[in-house]
Amino acid sequence: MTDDRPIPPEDEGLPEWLRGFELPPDDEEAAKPPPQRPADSLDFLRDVGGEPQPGIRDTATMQPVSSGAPPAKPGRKQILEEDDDLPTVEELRGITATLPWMRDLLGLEPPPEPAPAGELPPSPPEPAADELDWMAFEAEAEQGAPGALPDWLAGADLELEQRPLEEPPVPPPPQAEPPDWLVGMEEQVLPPEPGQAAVPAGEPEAPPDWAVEQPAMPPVEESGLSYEEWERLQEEAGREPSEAEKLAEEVPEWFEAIAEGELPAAEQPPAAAEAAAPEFMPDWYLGLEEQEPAQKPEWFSAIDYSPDALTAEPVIPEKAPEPEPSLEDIPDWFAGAEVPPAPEPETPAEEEVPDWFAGAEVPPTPEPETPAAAEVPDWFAEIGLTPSREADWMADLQAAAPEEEQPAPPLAEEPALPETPTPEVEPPRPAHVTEPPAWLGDLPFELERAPAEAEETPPPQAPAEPVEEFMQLIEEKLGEVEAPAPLTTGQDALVPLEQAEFDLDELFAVAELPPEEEAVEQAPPPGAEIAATQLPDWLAGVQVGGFSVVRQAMDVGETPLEELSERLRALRERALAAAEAAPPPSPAPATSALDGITDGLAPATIFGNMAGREMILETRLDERQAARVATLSGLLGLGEEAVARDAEGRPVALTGAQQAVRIAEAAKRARARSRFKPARVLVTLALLAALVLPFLVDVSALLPLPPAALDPASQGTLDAAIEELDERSQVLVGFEYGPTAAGEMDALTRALLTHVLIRGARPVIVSTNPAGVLHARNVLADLAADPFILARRGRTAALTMPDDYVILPYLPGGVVGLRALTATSTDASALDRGLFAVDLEGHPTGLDIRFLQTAFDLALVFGERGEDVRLWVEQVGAVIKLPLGAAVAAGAEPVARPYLASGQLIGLLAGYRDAYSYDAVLRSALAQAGGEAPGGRLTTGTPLPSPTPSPTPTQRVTATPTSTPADEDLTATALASGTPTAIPSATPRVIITATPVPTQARPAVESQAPTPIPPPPAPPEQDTRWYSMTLGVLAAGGLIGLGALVNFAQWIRRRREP
Amino acid sequence: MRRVLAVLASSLVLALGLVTLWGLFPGSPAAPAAAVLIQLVVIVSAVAVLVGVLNLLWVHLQRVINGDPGWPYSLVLFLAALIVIALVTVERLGLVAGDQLSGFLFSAVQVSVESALAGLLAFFLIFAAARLLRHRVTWAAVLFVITLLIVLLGWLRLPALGFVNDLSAWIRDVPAAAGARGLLIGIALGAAATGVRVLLGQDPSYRE
Repeated sequence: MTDDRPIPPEDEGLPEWLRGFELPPDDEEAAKPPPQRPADSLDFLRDVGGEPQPGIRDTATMQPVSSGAPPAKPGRKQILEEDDDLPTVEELRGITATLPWMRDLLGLEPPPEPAPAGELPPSPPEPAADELDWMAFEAEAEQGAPGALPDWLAGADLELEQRPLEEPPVPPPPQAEPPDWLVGMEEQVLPPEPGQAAVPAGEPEAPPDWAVEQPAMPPVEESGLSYEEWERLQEEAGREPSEAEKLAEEVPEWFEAIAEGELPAAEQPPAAAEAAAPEFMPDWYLGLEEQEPAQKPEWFSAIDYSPDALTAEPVIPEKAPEPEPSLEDIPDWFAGAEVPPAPEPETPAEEEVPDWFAGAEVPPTPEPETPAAAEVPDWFAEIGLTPSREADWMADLQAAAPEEEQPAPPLAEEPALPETPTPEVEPPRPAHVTEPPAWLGDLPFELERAPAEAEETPPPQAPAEPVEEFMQLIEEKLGEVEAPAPLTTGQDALVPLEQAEFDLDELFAVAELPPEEEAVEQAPPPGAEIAATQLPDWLAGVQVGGFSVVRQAMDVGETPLEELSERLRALRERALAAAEAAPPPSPAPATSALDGITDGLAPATIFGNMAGREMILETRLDERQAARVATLSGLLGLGEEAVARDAEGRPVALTGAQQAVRIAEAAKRARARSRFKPARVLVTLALLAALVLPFLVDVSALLPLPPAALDPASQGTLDAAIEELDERSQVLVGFEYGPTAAGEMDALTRALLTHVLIRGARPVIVSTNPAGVLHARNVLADLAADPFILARRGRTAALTMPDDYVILPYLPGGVVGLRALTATSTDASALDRGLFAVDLEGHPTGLDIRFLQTAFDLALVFGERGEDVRLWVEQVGAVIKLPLGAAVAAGAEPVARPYLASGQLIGLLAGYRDAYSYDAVLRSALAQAGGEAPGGRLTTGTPLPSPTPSPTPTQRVTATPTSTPADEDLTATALASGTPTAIPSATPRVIITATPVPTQARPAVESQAPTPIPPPPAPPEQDTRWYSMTLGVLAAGGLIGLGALVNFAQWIRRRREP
Repeated sequence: MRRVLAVLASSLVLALGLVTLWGLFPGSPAAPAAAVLIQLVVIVSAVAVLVGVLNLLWVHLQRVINGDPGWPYSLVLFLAALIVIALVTVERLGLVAGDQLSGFLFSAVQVSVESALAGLLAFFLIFAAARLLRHRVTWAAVLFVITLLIVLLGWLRLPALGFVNDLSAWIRDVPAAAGARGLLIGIALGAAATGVRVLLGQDPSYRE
């Protein structure tokens, strides 16, 4: 992703990573660019920190940018936010000249060659307007000797010499009067600038009123301290310096020499050293070689660049920094991170953070380095650095040196273990890093936050440990660690993570730093020296957060015994006792594969320590549990044998063996009892008597027959729809029941198909039940030979297949088969070889059914389950839009009835009762039309509006489903003669169209002379069967009710028993 | 390789399912393709039935050959199947007049046996209902027994049981119909969810 934002002019030439930093919006004065801003300014110092550094002054005026707020602020952050008296970095563009790396970036001309060794550059007669005060001070004190300056500013001095020549001094902007407490300091520090009246020294103005209450501040001339410094001294005087402060006060000697300017000129480096300097050395680093030996720092003097030393066995670092090809692209301060470590006095861990980062991460508490600040130049104190805060490259120089010299200490108790660093080492943290920048928060690790008591913790530690630990963690995560799991010295066994007791406070708290001695003794992890030299120092303060599993595992060290809980302590004692009591592991037998291996797991003795312990021999139950067991046993026919009683009569659960024995005995008794069950026999006999009695005794006087009428509201208008059929009609019949429901369903099937056959229509039967197809064949074979049907149809011979009816083969696939039945209707090309091509016996049906909607006039489904009706309604009725009637078993009626209510079924008949009623209606209609010719209409239970025209042979009759049976609205229609008429919508609409029936292979209707055909009387077994069913239902109801009453009474009696 | 085949099978099922679904819409141009696919399912189902019958015969033949327990019953089944198949084959070939013999066997044996077994169910159900309150009396059990009696007696529509008839009709039309509608809606939702799962490849039935 690219950032399209325009680069500010002031950011041009800066490194890419520095452009993103911006000044706080509230510091507009500081963020405003100067009128003439030199390109070699050090504004990046401010940008890096994000905030101006306190104590920085405008070198042109040497006054704070603004005055106002008193300097007595407790924290530095507050100073940054509120103290406007402090100058901004913007005004420090003359402090330093362009650094070499910046010069390369900005494309400026290279600085003039530094003066040869021993030859000091001439100091300007007067300091430039943009010159640092400390530079002026030192220039006056040391007469411009560059050796007195920090080496990294050597190049800047050269640049400073040219600055007055390149650009005129920037006129100071009008500034407010500085506070009086700053006047003395300016007089002391700053030389009088041209054109500016010098403040007379020795006459400090009276302090303001707010300063009267404070202790009297000594004159600046005497103390040499600013008000801030003096105030800090006052604050720090009342408390004991911490260990960190003490260590922070340990300023290297070379640093003090720089501050005091006591470097002897005889120690100037020879000129040859410059020529021998490696190319990868930064310029500021090479400046050290130009100095005299006396002026060099001790650490620098200890470095031997002679060929012998370079070719000799390396002592300090094993890996010399490799020259980076992109050295020119990185700033010099960053390149300092790869400087070979040199023996240097130990520095606190806070030096691991670069100074630029330290400037951005100012701790909220005031720095306690006030005593040391008096020994360093003013500029050093003003920019907020303490004497202990050397350049970051110094920390790198010290990073690996002590640890390289210290070999890995052997493990005290487990010498055989590999010498690996312990992960339990508490990582050091920089004491002053409190607020990491926001961009560091995006990194995949967490910055360690210093607690409030960080100042109280001893800061001395191994400087490179954070880097080492960080690298170790990284390597562990990447699986690159080849060494075995580290163990802590003296650690007996690792505590499993799940067994360790975690203290959230400990997990969230920053690990305490180990003592210095322990830190030195700890062996460096693999690759630590590499990490210490190759990693930038700003990563030194970074470590994996406390939430990391690895970190948590590392934090789980040995818990002191006194901190263990009582339970764990008891377990530990038991484990120790068991280990002592356990026999020593015997060597494996010589014949085994583990011969000679004695450290294997010893076989566990499962029952070894069971002596003297009481065994559980029985399970006592309370009365409630015993009652439940008895209930379950009773349900299983086992009685109450599953519960025993002890000597005191208390219920006791049986053991497994006892249960097996008693269950076997109970099973024997149960089998003996099962031979005769009086209750079941009585029920069976009573029910049989009720069923058989009508066949033996005339009970017609006691029981009524079903009504000889159909209720359109509950049974629909299926009879009327069938009545509208004629000899050219075809009915699609779904025969979805098998022999199981034949006793109940056959009556319905016979009644409906009789009506259909009487009307001369041809039923086409299809079934998804293999047995249903065979049963349909038997049913239709009986009907085909029915004399009444033959008489009504004017036939003398039995009906034949496929002329009079068609039974299609078994339709496999279930619901898919039904869908295929309807899908075929839309595929005209496949009809000849489709499902309607042949009948059950394999004979061609001759059916030319291209569309089910036009080929059939009615659809009927006979099902024994509600599922059958549902499938037909969904897959057939909803597709072909034919009037669909259903005849189901009584048990399927509740499921099928919603379809009748919704109009998806035009009629619903259920069970033998409806079969009897339908048959009675049919016979009654036949009796009323006794003299009518074949094909004449019958008057069924659902009368149609009169007159209803009979369709002529040349006309086609189609029926459409009605919306709802209860709808009584009349629908206008027309007769064949053109006479308008109306029929209720509740009945199937008979639409007589002028379209002639397509010629297809259908038998011609045999015409007969109209002779009276009286309907045959109802078979006597039909009524007797109804009586039998009625008595059986009554007997069943009586038996169920009687049984319920008896059981209810027994239940009441049991409840009343104590 | 197995994963590749599984992916191919899943992709094939999804594609065919979507084509079939598309073809079921009215006026869809994919209707012929959907019809062909449905016909294929029907044919495969018929073959499955045939394979099942052959497997049944083979299993029982193995039991007879191996003398497993109950092998006489397997022998009866095997011989009966062979007889019926041979009889139907003879009838289809026209070697005997008519086809009443196979139909007679079906009605005399199959229908009678199954009807008798279904009739025995009435005795068990009645006896179980009579013993329903024997071990524990709960409101649900009492309500069940009362409803059973009302519906059973009301189904007869005896004039003497006018109130029971009306109550039975009400139970049939309101609570029972409501429950049936709930069942149907649940079935429809389940079928739709199953179809969606199959079409989305979430059903593991064809992935294994």
